[in-house]
Amino acid sequence: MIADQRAGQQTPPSIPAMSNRSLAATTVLGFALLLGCRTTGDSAAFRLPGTTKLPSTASVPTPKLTPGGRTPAVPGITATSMRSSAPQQADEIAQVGFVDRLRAAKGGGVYCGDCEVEVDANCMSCEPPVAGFFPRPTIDPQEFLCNGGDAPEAAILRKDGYVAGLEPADAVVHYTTEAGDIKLQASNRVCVYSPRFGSVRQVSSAAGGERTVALQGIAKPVGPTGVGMNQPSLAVGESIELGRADVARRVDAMRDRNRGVPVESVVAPELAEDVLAILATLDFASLGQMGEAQIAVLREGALAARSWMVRDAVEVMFKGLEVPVLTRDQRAEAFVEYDFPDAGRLKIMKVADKSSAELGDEIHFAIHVQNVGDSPVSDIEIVDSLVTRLEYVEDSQKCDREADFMTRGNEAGSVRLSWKLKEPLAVGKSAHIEFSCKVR
Amino acid sequence: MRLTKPSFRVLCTATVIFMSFMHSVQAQQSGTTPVRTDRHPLYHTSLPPGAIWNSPAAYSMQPTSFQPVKFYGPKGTEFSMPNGGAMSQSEKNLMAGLLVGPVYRFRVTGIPFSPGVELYPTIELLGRLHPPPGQETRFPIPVTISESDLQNAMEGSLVTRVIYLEDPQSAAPLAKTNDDATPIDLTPKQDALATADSLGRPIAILRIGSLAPPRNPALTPQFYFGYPAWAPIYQTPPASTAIENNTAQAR
Repeated sequence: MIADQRAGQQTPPSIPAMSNRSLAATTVLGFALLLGCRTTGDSAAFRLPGTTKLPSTASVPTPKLTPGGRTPAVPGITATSMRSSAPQQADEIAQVGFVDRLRAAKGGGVYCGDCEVEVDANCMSCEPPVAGFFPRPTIDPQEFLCNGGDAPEAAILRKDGYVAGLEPADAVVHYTTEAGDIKLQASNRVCVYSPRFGSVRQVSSAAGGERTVALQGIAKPVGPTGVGMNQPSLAVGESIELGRADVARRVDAMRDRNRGVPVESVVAPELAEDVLAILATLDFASLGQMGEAQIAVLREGALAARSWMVRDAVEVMFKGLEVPVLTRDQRAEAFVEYDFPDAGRLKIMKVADKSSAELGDEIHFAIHVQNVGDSPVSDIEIVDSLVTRLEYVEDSQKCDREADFMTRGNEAGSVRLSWKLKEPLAVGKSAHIEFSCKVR
Repeated sequence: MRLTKPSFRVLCTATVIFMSFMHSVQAQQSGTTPVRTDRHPLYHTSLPPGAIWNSPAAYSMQPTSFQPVKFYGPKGTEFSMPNGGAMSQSEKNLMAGLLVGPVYRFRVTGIPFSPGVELYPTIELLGRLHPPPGQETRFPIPVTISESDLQNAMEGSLVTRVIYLEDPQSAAPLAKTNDDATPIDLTPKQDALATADSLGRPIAILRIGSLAPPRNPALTPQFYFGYPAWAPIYQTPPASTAIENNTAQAR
């Protein structure tokens, strides 16, 4: 009943006046909602019903293309350090991603997963956070097109050199170190806002005597104030019951944890008991005074501590025979350092030039692979399996190193791209790949 | 009578086999396999318009921002929304900001091969989108009506379309546009909400019927579901159209 009144759908038979009032209230509510929702981040294209049209359209901001990027290419510096306003280098690449609207509206910075940057900074390619238990902006990952990474971690390199277990949307690189080890490294995920919609349709009709019964006849019972129709409140109310069940389970879990706690507590008193046994006998501890008679007790403890220095070994008596005293007086006379260089290690990063794209738009992707290890790596192959909604634009790929490029279909009906570098990658060197995809 | 060793073994084996058989029969009869239903866990298709967001649980979740929605129809079709007792100006691809929850009834005119016919479908938003700031109108929810939808409605059928946000992991690798009206047709026994839920996130329910506005003015607010607030969104006409208009004015 409350809900019906709120929606203004009750129409008491008495009264046009009531309907006028509800109409006025609705109008006021509309104004309030409209004004209340106008933030700096909202589009300027909204206007109230009946008002004049705005002279200009909503300006759709063009995403900043920053093919120079803020992501430092220096190993050891993570993507979170994006506050730098240093001039962009030619070999750097930009990152894009989603922006938390609520934080951005508050001026608190752009939120990108675990990293926070200034408002004016472009966001990096983070995955959209999934709504958790705490009330925070729920962003549906289904609105984003994500590509890259290896989830679940199932990619393996077969003996024939084929990377198996690669899901559509995964991107990995595999390489061989100097020691002969074969390593697989997944890239980061790049997410572009691009929702796509579908619809399911159901056609129902009431037929009688080989003739369709007009809907006007059966429309009344399905109206908002329909009599005899079960409202879904009971069904939804059941979810509250489930909430209670959750709470009950949590209590059980607490009880289980409490059972585990005494195991730790048992150890502590045992250790504390020994200490307390000594300290408790001291008047200094119990009375706050130090008697002379107790100095001997302290000295005994001090001697015991001194006699257990590292230089001395344990003296034992074995059947009345005294073993010779061992004194450790060896000392280091020389220091030789053996330097074993670490194996080569590749860092792979994938970025996109847009943070949002409509159907039919082209997105340019870049994959940056860099050897951040201590020795060169060889047999490098970069494999990128595209999601179904990304269509590779033919002949759009570019690689700044000599590589064999190959495409083949993946199991989702999209394309799997692979670049096999012909030469090893020395320490600190990198390979840069670019290609374009069309959003479908 | 005393059993020999081999016959004792045979007896034991037969007993074990019989017991395991009886156990399996009992397990089947007890129905340990969960019953699978094709229904949505909370909602069903025959709910009246607005029932989903009228529930007490949803009352406190009403968002207060307008979600842009864009209407697409066959060539020549125009759409308009109720505006203070009258209808707003008809537009070809009307875009409007709607609230999540209330039911909106809009008018469809210019139906192909049916001059003068007006239909009054309803649209009900179940959720909203979260586009980058400032790009709300760039990514509206497309409400697409096909010619067969209108034809079915004019013949007296009720066409229910559940619009869903596709899951990109399971989306078909086919090019698509927003005005693509090709739906997935369901049989009357299937649950449209459950099917849409399995393909993505249901975001809007469109119901197209042949109900006409009541003649009694007292019933009009009920017909329009209490005139819930909405915000029209002005769209720039395509550049070619703007040039044509300027040329016509100059003449």
